[in-house]
Amino acid sequence: MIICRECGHTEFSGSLFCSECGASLLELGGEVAVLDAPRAPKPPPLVGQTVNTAELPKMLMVFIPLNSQRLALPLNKGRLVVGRGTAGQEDPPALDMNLYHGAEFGVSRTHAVIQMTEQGVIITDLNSTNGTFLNNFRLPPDLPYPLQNGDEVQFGSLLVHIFLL
Amino acid sequence: MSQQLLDITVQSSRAQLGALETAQVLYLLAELRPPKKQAAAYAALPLNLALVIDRSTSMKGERLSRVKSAANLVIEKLGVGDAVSLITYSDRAEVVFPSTQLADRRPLQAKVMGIQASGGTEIYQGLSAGMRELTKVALDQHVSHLILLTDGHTYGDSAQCLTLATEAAARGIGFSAFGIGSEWNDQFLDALVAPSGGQSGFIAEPEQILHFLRQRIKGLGAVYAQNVRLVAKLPESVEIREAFKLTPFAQPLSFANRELALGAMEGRSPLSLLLELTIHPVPAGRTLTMPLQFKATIPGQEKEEVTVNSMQQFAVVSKPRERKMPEALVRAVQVFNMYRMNEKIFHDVEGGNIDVATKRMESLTQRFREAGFTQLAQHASAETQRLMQTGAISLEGHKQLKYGTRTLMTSSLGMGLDNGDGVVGSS
Repeated sequence: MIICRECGHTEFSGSLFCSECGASLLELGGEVAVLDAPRAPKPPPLVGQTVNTAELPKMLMVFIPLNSQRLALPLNKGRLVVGRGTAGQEDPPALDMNLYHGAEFGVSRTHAVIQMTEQGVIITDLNSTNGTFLNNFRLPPDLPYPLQNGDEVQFGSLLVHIFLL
Repeated sequence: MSQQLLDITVQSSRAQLGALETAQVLYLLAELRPPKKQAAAYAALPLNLALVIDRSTSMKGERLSRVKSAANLVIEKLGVGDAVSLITYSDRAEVVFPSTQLADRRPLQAKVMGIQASGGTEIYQGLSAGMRELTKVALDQHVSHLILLTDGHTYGDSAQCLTLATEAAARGIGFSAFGIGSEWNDQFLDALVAPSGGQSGFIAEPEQILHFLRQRIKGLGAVYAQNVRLVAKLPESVEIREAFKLTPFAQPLSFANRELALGAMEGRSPLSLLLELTIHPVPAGRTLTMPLQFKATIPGQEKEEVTVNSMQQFAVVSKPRERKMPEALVRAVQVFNMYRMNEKIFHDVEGGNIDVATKRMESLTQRFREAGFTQLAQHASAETQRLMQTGAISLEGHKQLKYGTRTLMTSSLGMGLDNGDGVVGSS
């Protein structure tokens, strides 16, 4: 819950204006009330494992929460296009979002591309209609951004989690 | 295929939801447009129009004479393929001229000029005669619409009127209703147009009658899709608290048979709506998927009914990330909140809570001022004074604020939308 600074009225988190006095709650609403958010458990420490950060990942694992599906794609085969294929298309996208209601989620035909470079794995929005969001930041089109293990990416409004293995 | 017949964009107030122990609010702003290619090519259907006009005694004088000249101008503006009928009502209905395909306009216009005011207000008589005229024409080949003009309360037949409006909507006939002056029931007119997603409006001065009629005819003459509906198959934890259409005109929306009737998409301008959702507690780690399904009839398409889905997804996390809120959405919610404050004041006064109402009206005045809505601030300030002195608000003032904020909701989208071309303002 959030409390209006001007009149003290209590509103649900996420409210933008006080229903009682009309004051803006944007500053308060922006940070969804931490008051009642349960604490996330701390992740367990890594034991007996060493992570070699210099080693580049070989596989891209895409987790799609919509149907809890995991897709593993090799990263050494060049560009992995994310989009929606059409019937009989010569070079269909590696990640064909038609299988996951892509059109309804606002995925463009050629939406974004993920590829391996010397600097690591990068993602580039291909001037898609509804945008590519990397951890909620809308990527400007045609500019490469680094992808990290655990990143959250939205193609239009289709949410996926990225793991680099 | 159907994806190409409607373009849908949805903006949300949040990118992620918090895993909270209490409910939270989420706003969605949805916009439907004809696709660019289609918009240039579509052929509008001819109009099938019934004008239903109040001729009760209170309409005597300037009101009726303005209505008459407005009706004549409408007849002037209609095209050759359009059908029009004119019905007047008081205690009973009279068909001034029956459904006519326009050829020679002069005899019709002469009949309009002969209308005289007398008698009471029984809206059902007028509506039902209007319906009879509308159904003389092939409904699937026309944009069929009934426009009601009234200046008073109807007596004892409001339930019948609402049943008729629901039946009309089921047959694809739209209703619009305009109240002249301040002595009519705004809630009744809202309910009357709700089943078909039509417009209800407040005509404060008789000289505005023409403007309102012309706007409505212009919109109806450019219908791209009819009978647009939203079917929201939301997860159990999500509830639609309020729904409001913002463009082409602002109008509260209500659910019937788990569908929201959105009316028509008029021309190239978008049909946009604001949804206020309550999200009940959901544990972290879940993803809430909200499918919004839009259905519409698009004239000239092979398939009678088109269905287009738009999915929204929100991850529920313990610490949601922030994203800059879409400006248009924030502005729309701001004005919507003002609208709701004014409605609350009305209920406060009805319930005898004058002190609460006065305090609210004071706050509302201040919010109008801060936002630069000077005229509404003046109305609100006058009503604050009235509340303090007499413990009442004026019907006129309440309607000025109610319909003034509605107009602002529409214009709040007209500015700063990233793809704002063709967004219609209020006038």
